[in-house]
Amino acid sequence: MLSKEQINAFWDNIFHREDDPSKRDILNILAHIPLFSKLSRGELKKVAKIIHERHYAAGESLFRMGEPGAAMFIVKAGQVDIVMPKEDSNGLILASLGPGSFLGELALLDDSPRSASAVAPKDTVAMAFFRADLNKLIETEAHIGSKILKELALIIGQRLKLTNEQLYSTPKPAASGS
Amino acid sequence: MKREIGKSRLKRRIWVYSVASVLGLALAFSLLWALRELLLPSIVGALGAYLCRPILNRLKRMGMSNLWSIVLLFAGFFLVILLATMQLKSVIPDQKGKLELRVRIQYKLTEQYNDLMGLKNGAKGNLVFEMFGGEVQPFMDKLNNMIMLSPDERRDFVRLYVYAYGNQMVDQKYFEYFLRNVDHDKRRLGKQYVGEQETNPEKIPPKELLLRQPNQGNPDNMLARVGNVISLWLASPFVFLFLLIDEGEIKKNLVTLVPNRYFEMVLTVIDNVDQSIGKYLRGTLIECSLVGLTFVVCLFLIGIEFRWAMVIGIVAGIANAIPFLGPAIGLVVGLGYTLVVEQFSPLLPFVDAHNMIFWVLATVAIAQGLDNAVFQPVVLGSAVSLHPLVVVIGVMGGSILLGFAGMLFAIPAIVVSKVIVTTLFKEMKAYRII
Repeated sequence: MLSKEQINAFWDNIFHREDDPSKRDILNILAHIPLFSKLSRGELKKVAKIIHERHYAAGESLFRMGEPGAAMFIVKAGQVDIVMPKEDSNGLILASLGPGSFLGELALLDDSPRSASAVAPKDTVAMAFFRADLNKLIETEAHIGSKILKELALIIGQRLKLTNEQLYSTPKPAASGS
Repeated sequence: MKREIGKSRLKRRIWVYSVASVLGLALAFSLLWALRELLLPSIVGALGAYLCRPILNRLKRMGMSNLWSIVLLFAGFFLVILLATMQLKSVIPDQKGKLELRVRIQYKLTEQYNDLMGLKNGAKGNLVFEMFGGEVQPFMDKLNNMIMLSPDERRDFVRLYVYAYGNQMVDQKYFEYFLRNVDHDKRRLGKQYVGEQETNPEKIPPKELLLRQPNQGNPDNMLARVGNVISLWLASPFVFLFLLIDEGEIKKNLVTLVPNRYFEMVLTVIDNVDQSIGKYLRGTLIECSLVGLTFVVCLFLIGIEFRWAMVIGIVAGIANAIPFLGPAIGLVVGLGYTLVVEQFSPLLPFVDAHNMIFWVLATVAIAQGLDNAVFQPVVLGSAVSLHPLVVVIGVMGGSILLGFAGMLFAIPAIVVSKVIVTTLFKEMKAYRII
């Protein structure tokens, strides 16, 4: 006689219920990333399939300043520092990002060089979303691709507004030599 | 202290990676060698899936579900393989057919040669024979020696005809060709001609006649052989199906093996290589298909039976993937068929049996002209270019290593290696690794 667990496992195998906690974690994290906030559960699963999970040891770089960008990273566990490298010291830490944060999203648009480095100060797990995979998603699942691109445009627009506001609110230095 | 731990961990990691890589590579190569018979069916399936991927994407864009798109493509792939196998099976001759084909080729070759050289009915030869006969005759003799049936084959031929036609075999056209070939060979070889009695059915013991009838192969062995081939080629549709179903899981699992430092670079290389190779392979497939189609249309127009026009078209199309040699293979197959064809009904009024060879030459010229002027520039564009010397050495090397399959896959293999190496170096520089 089959037990209830065995019967459940049988149906789960048929309907592919997401019982893997790590996969459930990935879906939960992705759902809270603004870029994917408009995606349904089913659409998030499709994105999760093309996400690469990477494990970084303390002190390891996710990417280096000046290198071509190819992927956006999402911090799953641990911490990532955005660092402006300096030759004579460890570099200037611009920001520290915790779980659920994302970085390097401009790499989803083109391969222009990274404007800063990203370093894991402690053992970290990050998820990488690759530009070429996004481009393929736009080709094959245009509705998912367009939702992601729209959110990306909104994020970049908001940052531009913020930068403009900061620029205008900064007091202008007095003209020298007058 | 922490730095010391970090260093020892790094050392251990390097050791583990190195040993695992060596063991993995050794295991992969030994597996590849052990399963080498599965390699070609798997490559065909993988290539089919790779080439069908854009069609799958297009079907999905058109609103078809993933499942139905895959089912449709799988059915299409299966159907193409089935039709191609049936078409090829229908034209592959049995034992009698093979012997007949050689008899026909030898007879027609001799007839055409005698016509051209003015040697018909014991004539002494024309001007062409006087000018070139000395050089061409030894070549013709060698060719005849290659095609002519051996004493055993001659005995089999007579036996098969006795079995198929009985006393009426002497009225059969190909038996007449056979007798004329035997006469010709006797005259040509003189005392060197081996085997006198095998053409006379009365000299063949009746017991042997009964024992050695057509299809005398052991049915169990034949079934086992056919079963073996079928089971090997079953891998092809399965590889096709599972690679088509895969939504990047294979790539993802392979990329997990890449160290973090090279992760972004490797993904970029894979993407660039995929794009370049995809463009080249799809372009080559379309180009070869168009060349094959040109052959089929032209050969059908000049009167070659549609079934044979298809076969010659398929051979010429596939051979077109071999630079330089491909058109020659198409030409030889076309001319070979023209040589042995008995009856044809041309759709064009100015084509007849005497100028057929020139129309086959014209077909090859048209196909090559269109290929160079239209198909290659439009379909392939500037996908990947190779130096002609690399092409020649590659094709020769491929043929030495793996025969015809080597010749066919040499250039794609070189193109793939070239794209991987150039992209890898470019990205390694961009990521400041070298």
